[in-house]
Amino acid sequence: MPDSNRGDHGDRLDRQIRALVSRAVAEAREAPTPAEIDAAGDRRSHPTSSSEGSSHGPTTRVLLAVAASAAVVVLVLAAALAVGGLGGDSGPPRPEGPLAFRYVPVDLPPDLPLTSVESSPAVGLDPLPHVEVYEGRDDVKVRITVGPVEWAAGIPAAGGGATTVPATVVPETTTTIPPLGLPSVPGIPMRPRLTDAVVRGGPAGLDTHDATSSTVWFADAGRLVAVDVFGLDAPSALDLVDGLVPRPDGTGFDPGPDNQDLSLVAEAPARPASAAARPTARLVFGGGALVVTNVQLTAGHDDLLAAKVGSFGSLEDLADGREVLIDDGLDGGATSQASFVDPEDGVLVTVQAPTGSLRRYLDHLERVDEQGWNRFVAAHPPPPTSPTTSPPTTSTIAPTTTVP
Amino acid sequence: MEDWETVYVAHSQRLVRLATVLVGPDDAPDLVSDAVHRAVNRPGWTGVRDQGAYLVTALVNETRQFRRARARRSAREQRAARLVPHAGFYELTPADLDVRGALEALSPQQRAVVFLVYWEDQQIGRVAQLLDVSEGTVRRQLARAKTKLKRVLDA
Repeated sequence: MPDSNRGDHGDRLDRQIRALVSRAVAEAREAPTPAEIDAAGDRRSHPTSSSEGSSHGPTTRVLLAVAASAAVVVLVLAAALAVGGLGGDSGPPRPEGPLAFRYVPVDLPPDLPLTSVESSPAVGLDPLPHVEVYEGRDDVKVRITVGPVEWAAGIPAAGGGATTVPATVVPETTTTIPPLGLPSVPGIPMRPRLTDAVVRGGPAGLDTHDATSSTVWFADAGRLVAVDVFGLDAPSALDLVDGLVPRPDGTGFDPGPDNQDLSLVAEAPARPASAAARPTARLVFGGGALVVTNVQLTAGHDDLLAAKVGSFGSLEDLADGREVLIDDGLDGGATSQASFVDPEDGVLVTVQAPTGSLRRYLDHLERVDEQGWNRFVAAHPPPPTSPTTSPPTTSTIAPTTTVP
Repeated sequence: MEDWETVYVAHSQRLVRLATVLVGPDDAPDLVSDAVHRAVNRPGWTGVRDQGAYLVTALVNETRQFRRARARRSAREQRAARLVPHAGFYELTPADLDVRGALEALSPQQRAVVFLVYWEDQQIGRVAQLLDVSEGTVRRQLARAKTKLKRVLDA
């Protein structure tokens, strides 16, 4: 076994795992024939009920990525985990048109009626920042995100952001952390875990996600910089950030002589605000007690988002195996947000709910296609005059256009 | 024989074995059918360069929806029939409790990594290609899978 990362025959655990997999594989049955696959497809294309029909969305992309985050209120609502998606070219192209697939919650309690359905064609988190991803020894991964300070000045968040968030949803706190006093940074989101730090001779914020991942925020020459470090403890992450060397052209940072083992693996340059449109759909339940936002990423944006690793929160495995990034720090800890990128169609999904309820709702998220979406809205029509709707950039989706 | 059939036949045994590790032998053929049908009917299928790898990734992706739909269906059926909940992976017997119980602890991606590394003896780089993720992700998932399996196997 030339590759030390493969199962080592000499290790007892590896032998056990090998035996385990062998036993599982031994139970494999005959593979279906092409004719049987065609027959199965025919059955599925004629669903007998809405629940059966909506439980499957088209399989497309090969991006096994995930997850996302709400970083600076303005900066990022989410970001995917699997940097492997960067530069991938084996999957079908992303749709550029209307939102193709949406996630809807099913089996919600009766006290959470659908109160509004909102759509937004092309607003979002532009301008997009400059992002670079580095990998080093021992699975160390570093993501450097550099953007204008305007990030923290009220730019709408992904998916329609401030203009479409219902009034009943408490937005994230964006006040500058008093002890840090970052005068050149209008605001850094207040998070329970965020602590003071010093990097590069100035004040910074350190958010420790777990023992080996953290994010360091600091201001540099009028820019806001977020450095996500995975595979190192917090002190080492601070040391790493100390060693970064800003580039003369202002595009970002080089690893510097103290971080020579870091190699650039992906880069997404900053983009202007008009770079792309991202159709967005948002479902609001219970007047804002549960908000599900779907953002259709356009070609190229998924790569960028994939690079912008979650800056707050921790990765968790859901019951269905999906990894999501969950941030329990919104609204002073009262609200949680889960974020992930649908691996197949490039839909960025964020779910906000009171802390303690979020994970339960996540188990009831279901991906639907256009038809399933309309069925869902038709089956749960929101009140005609919802107090949470009517921002200028929002329109209510007509629920009856394609309902059978 | 259509083009996709040629590709599928070449990879069918691998796919059904992987599906067996992912969801168990009873559901594996259905999972393969659903994943392959969806994958080959996508508009971009003909432009996919490594269609074998694409099918592997599609299968792992399909597992998430499959498990979710099955869990809901099971819950509905249990409510309707007032059944006592049973093991969700598939009907267990004492002889295979350790196999199913251990694999149940892993996410679909972790199962796929374990299958490709321990059954197919694939290099990390090739596993990353097959699953369309970075090598770092493969190593991380493999490490997490081993940690989980050790916990189960030592229990």
